[in-house]
Amino acid sequence: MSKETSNVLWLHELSKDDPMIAGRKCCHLGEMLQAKMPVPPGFALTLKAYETFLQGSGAKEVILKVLEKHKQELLSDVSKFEEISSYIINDVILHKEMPGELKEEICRYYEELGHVCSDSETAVAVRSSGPISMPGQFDTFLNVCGYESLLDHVIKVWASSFNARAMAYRLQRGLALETSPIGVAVLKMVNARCSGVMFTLDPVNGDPSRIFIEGSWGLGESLVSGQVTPDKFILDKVTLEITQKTICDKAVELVRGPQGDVIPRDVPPERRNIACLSDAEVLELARIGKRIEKHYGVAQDIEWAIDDDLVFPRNIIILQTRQESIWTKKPKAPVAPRGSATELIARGLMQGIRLH
Amino acid sequence: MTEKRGFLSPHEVPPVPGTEGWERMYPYYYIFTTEDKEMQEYENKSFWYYDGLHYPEPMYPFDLIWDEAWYMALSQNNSRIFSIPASMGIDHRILNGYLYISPVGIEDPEVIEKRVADFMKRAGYYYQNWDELYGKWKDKVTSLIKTVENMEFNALPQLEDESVVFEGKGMSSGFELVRKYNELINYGLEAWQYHFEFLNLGYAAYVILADFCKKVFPGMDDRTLSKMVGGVDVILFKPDENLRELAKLAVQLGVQDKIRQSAKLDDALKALGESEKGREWVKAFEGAQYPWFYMSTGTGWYHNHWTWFDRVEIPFGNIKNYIEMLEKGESIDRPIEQVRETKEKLVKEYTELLSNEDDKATFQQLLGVAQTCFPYVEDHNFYIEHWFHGVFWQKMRQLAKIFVDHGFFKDVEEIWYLNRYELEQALYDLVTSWATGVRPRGPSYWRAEIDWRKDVIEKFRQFTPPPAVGVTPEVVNEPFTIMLWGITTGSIESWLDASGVSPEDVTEIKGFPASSGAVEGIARVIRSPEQLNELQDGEILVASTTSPSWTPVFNKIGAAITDVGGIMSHAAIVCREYGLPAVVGTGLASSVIKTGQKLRVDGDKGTVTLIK
Repeated sequence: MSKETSNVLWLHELSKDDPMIAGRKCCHLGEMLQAKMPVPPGFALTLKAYETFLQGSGAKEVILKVLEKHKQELLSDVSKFEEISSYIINDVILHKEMPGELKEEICRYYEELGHVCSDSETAVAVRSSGPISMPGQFDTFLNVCGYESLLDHVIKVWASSFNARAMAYRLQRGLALETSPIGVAVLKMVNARCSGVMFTLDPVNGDPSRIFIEGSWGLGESLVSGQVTPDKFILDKVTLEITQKTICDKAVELVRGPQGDVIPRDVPPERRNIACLSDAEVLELARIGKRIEKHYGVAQDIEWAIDDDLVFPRNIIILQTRQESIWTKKPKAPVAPRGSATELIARGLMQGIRLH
Repeated sequence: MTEKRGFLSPHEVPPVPGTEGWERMYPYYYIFTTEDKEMQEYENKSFWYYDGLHYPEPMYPFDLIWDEAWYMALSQNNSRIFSIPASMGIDHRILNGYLYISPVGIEDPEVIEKRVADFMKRAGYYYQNWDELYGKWKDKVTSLIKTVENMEFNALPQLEDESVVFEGKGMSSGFELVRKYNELINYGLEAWQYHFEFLNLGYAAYVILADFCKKVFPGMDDRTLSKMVGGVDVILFKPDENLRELAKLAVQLGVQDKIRQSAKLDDALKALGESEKGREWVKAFEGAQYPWFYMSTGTGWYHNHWTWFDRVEIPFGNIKNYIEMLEKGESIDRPIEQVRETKEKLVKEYTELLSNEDDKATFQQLLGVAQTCFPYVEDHNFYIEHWFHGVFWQKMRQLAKIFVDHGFFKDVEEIWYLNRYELEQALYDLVTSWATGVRPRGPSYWRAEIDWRKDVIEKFRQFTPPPAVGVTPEVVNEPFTIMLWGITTGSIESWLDASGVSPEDVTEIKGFPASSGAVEGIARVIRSPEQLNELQDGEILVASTTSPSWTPVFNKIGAAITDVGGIMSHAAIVCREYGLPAVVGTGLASSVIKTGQKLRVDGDKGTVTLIK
């Protein structure tokens, strides 16, 4: 079976040219695995699987009808999106069963993953993987354990392609409303001692000679949602010296609850104000960041975690990476027109250094 | 509305009690005036900052000569020779014995525009022919130094030698003494003319490169830049290099114990003289001295910054240290290869980070010219401040001996309490009275005055000079002000922050992160090179400024903190070389911190925390 016609693929089978097969996130993970980046083991559900589900379950038919009926309303009244979206997701998609063959296929991959992780019901993250970059548009679920739960959450991710934001976005761009196939990445859940983000430039000023790392205890969601002020590390990208280190009071961490769900927990006082990463981990992380940037040829925005089950340096796990979205898209005008050294110096001396 | 913060006007700073009349120790043009109203207004509107980088101590009247020398030399190269577009020279004043300087800018855009054309032509010539011109510079400076080395200041005879008559010389050794003194002074000023022949342009190249880097790499620190620009083989390290070689030779020859077991150099030389191998080492030791032992134990700016020739136990102690290290199996080689590799790697990878071809081209142009200029920037100190000054102070002491013989001074070291103009008068007095056969007027005139001046200087020493007076400027264009003294918005702000706080309440001091690393330790405040032997292992050196020639100290200390200095100050360069954390340009560390105080020095953040 070719990649194009598969419903499920191992991540390492994907390369960066495959976003139309399994979405960007899955492709990035595949590409990273091929380039020896430490991503968690896992598999991808393709865009084809999405279609298979919507068609096979009969959801598509219903959705088309609903949209046909309300199209004019949607065009004239944006507030309608919430209502229609809620209906499609909750009353249509989430009521559908996974078609049998697809279900078996997914379960086979999950079983295999269980072997790799020595845990038959290994906890996984179920992440959306859209074919075009729309950060944060679709849902992602962490700590999903067991076959039934996995299948439910995969459907939830697919359903999120009909959330109000995503539909409004499609309408704005003149894209088809009724379909927006997205891939899903199913990854071994990292037992995160701490996690965070890394930019291979300084996000504050765009300095390409810096590596910027933020990290906090536990799972990464607390960082994204701003509940905790993370520790901050800045390194020189060339020398890999840590040039700035700010350790913050990290009062809350997200951990796995007894049911495998994610719950906030107070950080014990003795851990609150100490660095969540050792210098060696910071350095190793930065080295990996440098490698990732080199591989893609453009500055990256990377999510990482330290897996408490593993030993340094293998405990560093890259959860995802994407092109940094602000500075890399700004056109970079030359600082100064070309000239001889003397011209450049003369021009500089004319301007002076402003003090006020 | 908060009140606008600012510094005192120079005319408002109260005098130090008991020093009234101090102005007469210095040339009139160094004194802030209230009599010339136009001048007073100019002084009020200008920004004057304390040059503690060069003058951690109050000015001795004679030692002011080097200030006079660079007052003219630096300024003229900006203003009249190379036509630096937006800046004239640097103006100087003395306030309660301390030296203040002020960059003079040019604001009229038309004038600046005109100056650019001349700058292009003139500076362009130097940048393009740098190595050749620098080669010539070394020749002329070396020849100047040798001329001064050959000068002798001898006692005046009872009766002139017969040759004066039979060779028809027609002049006395008294007159020659007066003339020689003036020559010596002029040679000194001439050496400083050369000191600045390349320096303004060298600093300009670095400052503009640094400015470009700040734009493309806002987070890049100056340490990284100076590693890319800096030389691998710096002359200033050569004297110390020789000592390491001598330590290795001693071990090779198996004579190290004779050296280690001798308390003094003389004992060692005696013990070594007894064997063939020992004599071989002594020969190497003697051969390694000239001119390298002209290395000053300080910066060379003050008469009391003795050279290694004057304090030969210092290099001898260093040799012993290095032998100890070798015996312990430690390497004493400087990692030259590593420094070179780091430099190449930094240049290559930083260039690759630039996103467009224009920036790459600009970076290469500016980096190239800065690298060309840098050997001069790093090496000139040895020629002028160490070697030339070392010889100069020796000759001045020969002259002082004559004054002592004629009853002008109680001892040689009193000569520094007269400025160079007064000394010319005193010498004329001395020679004329010798010629006339009468008692000179000098002894009664100068001895009382010198006693008073000693007291005044001591009182000045107790005074903490404000970091700046006058009005802060909008823009600084003067290359030295930015690069050497590190005058920036940040440094001025921290001076203002500190100005309202009493020293006991200070808990953190900010400066420039000059050399990476963080360390905790006990402070040792050093006010003159004489105090250096008080330093204990691991202590944190706190000084108004430090000198690269304090080598034994850098092997011992945990970190260094200075009041004044930018990234290219001597302290910064040497600390990076030795891998010590350093915070420079704090403005006030040496007046706030007391010896024994526990400190935390963060050379990455540029902070010094006082641990209570």
